[in-house]
Amino acid sequence: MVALATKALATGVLVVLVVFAFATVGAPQPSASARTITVGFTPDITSADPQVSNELPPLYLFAEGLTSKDPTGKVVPFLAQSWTVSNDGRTYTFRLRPNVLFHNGRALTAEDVKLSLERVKNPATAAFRQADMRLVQSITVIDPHTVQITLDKPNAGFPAILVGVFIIAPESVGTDGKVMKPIATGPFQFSEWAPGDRLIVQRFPRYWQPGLPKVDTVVVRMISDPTARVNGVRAGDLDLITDVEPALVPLLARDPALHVESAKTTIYGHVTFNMKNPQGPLADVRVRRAIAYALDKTQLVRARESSSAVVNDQMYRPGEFWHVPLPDAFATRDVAKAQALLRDAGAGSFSTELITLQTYERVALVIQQQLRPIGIDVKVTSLPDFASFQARLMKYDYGFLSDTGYPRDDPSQLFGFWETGSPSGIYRGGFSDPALDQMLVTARTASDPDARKQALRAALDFIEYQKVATVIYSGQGEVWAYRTRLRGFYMGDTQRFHYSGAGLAYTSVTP
Amino acid sequence: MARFVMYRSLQTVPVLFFVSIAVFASLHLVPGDPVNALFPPNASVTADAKIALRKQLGLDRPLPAQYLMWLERVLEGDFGTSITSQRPVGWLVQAAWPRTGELAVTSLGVGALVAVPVGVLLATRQGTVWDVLGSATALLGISFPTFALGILLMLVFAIRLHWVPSLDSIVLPALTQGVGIAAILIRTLRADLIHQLHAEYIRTAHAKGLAERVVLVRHVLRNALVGTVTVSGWIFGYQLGGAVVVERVFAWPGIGLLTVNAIYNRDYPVVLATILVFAVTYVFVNLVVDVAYGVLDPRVRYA
Amino acid sequence: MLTTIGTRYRRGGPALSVGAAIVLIMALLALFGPLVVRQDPQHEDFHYLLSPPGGPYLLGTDDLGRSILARVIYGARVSLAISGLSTAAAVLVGAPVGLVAGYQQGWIDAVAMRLTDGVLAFPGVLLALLLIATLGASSSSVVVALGISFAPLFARTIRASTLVEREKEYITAAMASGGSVAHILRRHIAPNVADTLLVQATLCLGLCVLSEATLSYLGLSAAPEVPSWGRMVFEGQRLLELTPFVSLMPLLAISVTILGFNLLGNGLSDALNSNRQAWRGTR
Repeated sequence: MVALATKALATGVLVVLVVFAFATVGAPQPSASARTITVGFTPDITSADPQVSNELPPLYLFAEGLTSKDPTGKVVPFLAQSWTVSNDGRTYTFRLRPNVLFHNGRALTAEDVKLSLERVKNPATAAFRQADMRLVQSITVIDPHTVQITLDKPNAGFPAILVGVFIIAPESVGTDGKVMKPIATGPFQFSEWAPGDRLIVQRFPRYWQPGLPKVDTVVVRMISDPTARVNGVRAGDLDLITDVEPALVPLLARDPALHVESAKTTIYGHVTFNMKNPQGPLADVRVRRAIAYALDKTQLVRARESSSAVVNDQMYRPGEFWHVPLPDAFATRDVAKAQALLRDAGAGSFSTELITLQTYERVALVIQQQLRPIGIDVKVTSLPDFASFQARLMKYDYGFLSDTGYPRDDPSQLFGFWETGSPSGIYRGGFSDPALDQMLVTARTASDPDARKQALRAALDFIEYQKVATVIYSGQGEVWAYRTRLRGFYMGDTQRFHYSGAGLAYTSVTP
Repeated sequence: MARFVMYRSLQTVPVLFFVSIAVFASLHLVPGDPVNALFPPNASVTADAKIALRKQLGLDRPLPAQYLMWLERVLEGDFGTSITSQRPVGWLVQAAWPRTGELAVTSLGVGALVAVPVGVLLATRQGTVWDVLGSATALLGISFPTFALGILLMLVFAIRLHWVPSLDSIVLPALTQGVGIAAILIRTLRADLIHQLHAEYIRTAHAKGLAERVVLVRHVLRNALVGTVTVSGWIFGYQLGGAVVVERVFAWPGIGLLTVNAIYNRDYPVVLATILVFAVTYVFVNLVVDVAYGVLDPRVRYA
Repeated sequence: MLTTIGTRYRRGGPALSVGAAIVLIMALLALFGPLVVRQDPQHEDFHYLLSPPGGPYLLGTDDLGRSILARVIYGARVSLAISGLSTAAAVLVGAPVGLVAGYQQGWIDAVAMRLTDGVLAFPGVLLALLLIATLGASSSSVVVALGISFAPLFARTIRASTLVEREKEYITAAMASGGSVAHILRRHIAPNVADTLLVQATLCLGLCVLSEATLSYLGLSAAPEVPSWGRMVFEGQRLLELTPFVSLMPLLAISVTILGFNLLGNGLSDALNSNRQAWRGTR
């Protein structure tokens, strides 16, 4: 009987091994193909319709806008080959490239551009950039390759904003107003999207930039677990991953088969007070200033674990074009000053709530410890997902929040958070001030970059040092990692998968 | 038998109703709404566009009306459209379900293939060093968190040794699940076998002079399998939920991952559909197990 | 009386002794540990980030400079408290249902069983996910979620035991002599299913520790400052290759504790009723 059992066990183990051997051999290995690039990415796009979906790097593989960015982050012509601005700054005349073809072979015309932009502007589409198009008053087709756009007010950032407004062929839109299979102009064409799993795009042989793309297929795998992404690129199952967890960078850096690159754009960490409905003592600016002095920015930067993270007080790091000189009064911790301010304001010890998204809760825990010595008992509420976080923000019943801001194409998009009536105001404590609005309007409408910078400097000083509505403490670059088999890949300042002069279209793979 | 199956099937209808209402209610109790979830901070959408979208999705109607609308469509076989991806829910579920299914079957297979012989071995050597060691190892298999095992296996076999790919391969996920299953099955089978070996009729069979092997296979194993089959059924149902963790660790696009993501995104139609799929599967598996129980153990009679 | 305890103890075998010892040690650690190891589990020492075991911090520090030893010890309190409360909740909800269903049978039984089916049809993790998302991440919502998830376990096993007990002669006698249902349940049946309950509860305690760890991995655990073991594994998981001890210490604690509960449960099962399979009460 024992012999029988032993034989059964041996057979069982053998069967299992054989099955697994077949399973391993039979498993799809897309990276093994010499002309396919596999990317590990998160989060998933939210629609095959690039105008409706959450605007993410993978969309740029198959869809493009009138303008694009170059590797240094400058706005350059793309589908439009040039543009002129009227004297009052309100009318832009775009001259389109004559040789652009949609993925169905039809040539791009000004009428297509007009229809695309109007579709984004239409609230019924619920396009991701709908509010950006509000400033467009009218769109006129001058001739098949010229389109004129008139804004209700001058806006120096308009060409930058257009980078993320995609042009799609009107025939992609079904009778129900939805796009199931997008027809656009990018180097790759949309092939398949399995939500939560992968997006597959195939080379478009008649792309308007000759010689591109260099590979046949790009497969974007949606992998939400950061460790799984890192493991994938280390094991060779993924060629490129974005958003590398800073703590894991050392692991990747010492692997000779991998390149690790840090972006020159800035992801900034900030602590923002509930300004719409300030809780208790936090209504007093002296109390907020005390908290700002009690924070140890150096420690907070260390808590972010990124080798590129620096102490900062604005949304751009030193060296970036839009970085402005500010006296970073809160750069070093000053507990004595903090306590003096609290005494001044008559605030004794009190308790308050700090809300954060779970991804960044480590920073919140550090803040909690940093405020203890000045008598503030911080209760950290860590929300597990974005929807819950948003729901709490909308209630305006918290003390302050700890969050992370991401780089955008134009400063007006970053500063827009603080403008009265902005739909994104909830992410900056609902701060609203007419004086600030004035400064932001000036920043937007001035055509001279230096004048814009001056206005933005004044705005930052107002928000951070006069009103202490927010404290920005760190800036770091997002880290990407890719295998050395990718040749000609360059992350650039813009971090899209395809843009002017670089991206996956220019990337080839060595077998 | 047929009456039993019919009776039980009828009883599932109220269960499914209860489950769907409970899920619907709790989904709407969870803070956050799907339209807001669709628009992160970098979205540039006005309030009226959101209102229009909510209206389009029927989210502005009172809750009971929304539930009834959903129910009506479900009874016609239409599970609606995913709010997050605008793909038909039926299509999403039908793509994800087989992935979880193959994982469940493979892990059960792995677990059973190892557990049956080991369980027999341990039972026949009850009280010896082998038994103690074997049982302790099996116990350890249940005591170790699945996600930790998965992460460790991935680290060792995919990253360090490169024996298996880290993505798209069923080997590591099935092994991870299989270990826990094997551990449970070993304990179940061993205990059952020990119980059987002491039973009266074994002595009777021995007395009749039947060969030991025949006794084992025909009587003991068959009766012991009753318990194992029951537990296996329960395990299979449990796996559908446990699969969530393994699917997360290995990026396996099954129905567990689909559900978790849908909950995070407040994608109501998808969550409702997947929970119903789980419920129906669970009920069906239970029914099959009950019937198998009746077939394997002739002493059981159904009213 | 003492001899019966003695015989039963011996029947439990090494599993009973080892299991009881482990559980006892963990309980003592939870109760008295913080008094012995006077370190604040939340204190962040930025001079000692991710330092390996040794030096001022016996088990090393994590990525925020917090003492791992202190966190494991305080974590014992949290994990055991959550498990204990969840099990208690599951028993309080599930056992009475099982008792009544098993005794009365008929339509009450059918309704009760379909209700438990309703709960069981939810894959455990997802049920907890929904409940915690609704109630917010806190220790109490974890307790509620786990309590509801495991109540059917007790309902089923107690029902099975009750069914068996009910058929026994002394019950028929009690019923014949005109005892009320409540009286019979309380006086005769309950004490006899008590040992099934005890075994199940012990196993459930282990399951709760495991579930709490799994929920933490998915990001659904008690408040962030609370050092539960599961949360510690979750936080240290990305550092597994670089500084494994951050995750391995709490992982070890989890596994040993669950092992202890399982051994104890097994031992109790052997000691109390070697003829009944308490854990297989699905009928």
